[in-house]
Amino acid sequence: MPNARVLRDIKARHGVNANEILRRAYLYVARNQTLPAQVRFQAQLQLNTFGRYTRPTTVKNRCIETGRGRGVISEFGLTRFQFRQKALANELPGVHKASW
Amino acid sequence: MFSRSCRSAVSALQRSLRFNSTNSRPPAAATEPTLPTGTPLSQIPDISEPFYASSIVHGRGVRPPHILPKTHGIPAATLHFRSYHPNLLDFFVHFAGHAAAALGIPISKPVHLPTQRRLWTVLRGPFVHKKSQENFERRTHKRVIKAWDAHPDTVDLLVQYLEKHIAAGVGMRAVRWTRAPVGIGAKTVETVRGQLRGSDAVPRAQKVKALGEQIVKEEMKAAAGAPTTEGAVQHTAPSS
Repeated sequence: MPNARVLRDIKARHGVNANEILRRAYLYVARNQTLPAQVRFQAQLQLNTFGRYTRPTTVKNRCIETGRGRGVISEFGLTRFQFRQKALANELPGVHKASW
Repeated sequence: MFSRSCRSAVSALQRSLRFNSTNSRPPAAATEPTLPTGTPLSQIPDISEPFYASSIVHGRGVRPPHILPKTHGIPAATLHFRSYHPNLLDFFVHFAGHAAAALGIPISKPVHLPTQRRLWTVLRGPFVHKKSQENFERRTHKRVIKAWDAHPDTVDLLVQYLEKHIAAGVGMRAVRWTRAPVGIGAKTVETVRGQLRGSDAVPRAQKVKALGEQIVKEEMKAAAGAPTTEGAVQHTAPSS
């Protein structure tokens, strides 16, 4: 059973995917310098009503084994300790102890 | 792939035979029926199995492949091979060389491109102890073989054969040279435009823009007309 935070992250990813176009449209209006101020302001207010699971900043890479949010190596989706354990067990293709 | 004892035996044999290419071998005895090495398939006459088997150069599969001479120097293909395991890579490149020689394709010797090295330094422990870390690396070894002068169908055959029998752990990429008819530039642009139309990227940007204009219209109407309505507006998910 994945972490509670992992579940939240999954929810955020689904939400971002579903609302990306709508958010971008509102952002386009809100940041457009040529439009009148009131229209931009209204668009910004609408943008504020979106929930937190639609914001792309909520998405964070988490360890696929432990669900830890820090120290994650993106290429493997693993925390540094999990990466070390799997690397020493030869479970990561091509990864070996470096020596030079 | 091989057992430990086999691996060391093969590598020992390879080392001893590395520089004894079939090019420099002395010719076989006159009594034995032989075919010159590198004879293209088209020139081999209809022969029975015993004749062909007795004409095989012993150890040919282990020695470096025969490099056929270029006929015109026109590039046909460039084969890139990448792997994390250099022995496996060299083995498969050796196999690719023999396959090309069997098909009568002049090739270059395998060239070693610079090895890419990816390094990760991680803490040894799961918690604190920053001063004790461990280095892990992953080396990507690369080899290139260039093919010349062959018919495009022959090169197709080589690439398909290699893809079918590729060793697990080796990646191959083939860059091909083909002759194109006059007017190919315009046709290519048209094809690419058609593909763009079908893909997701362009309609998405258009959708965003269209939605934006719609939102602007609504807000302008609301601003120009009665006082603005309070409360959250219904957000409809866009139809994808």
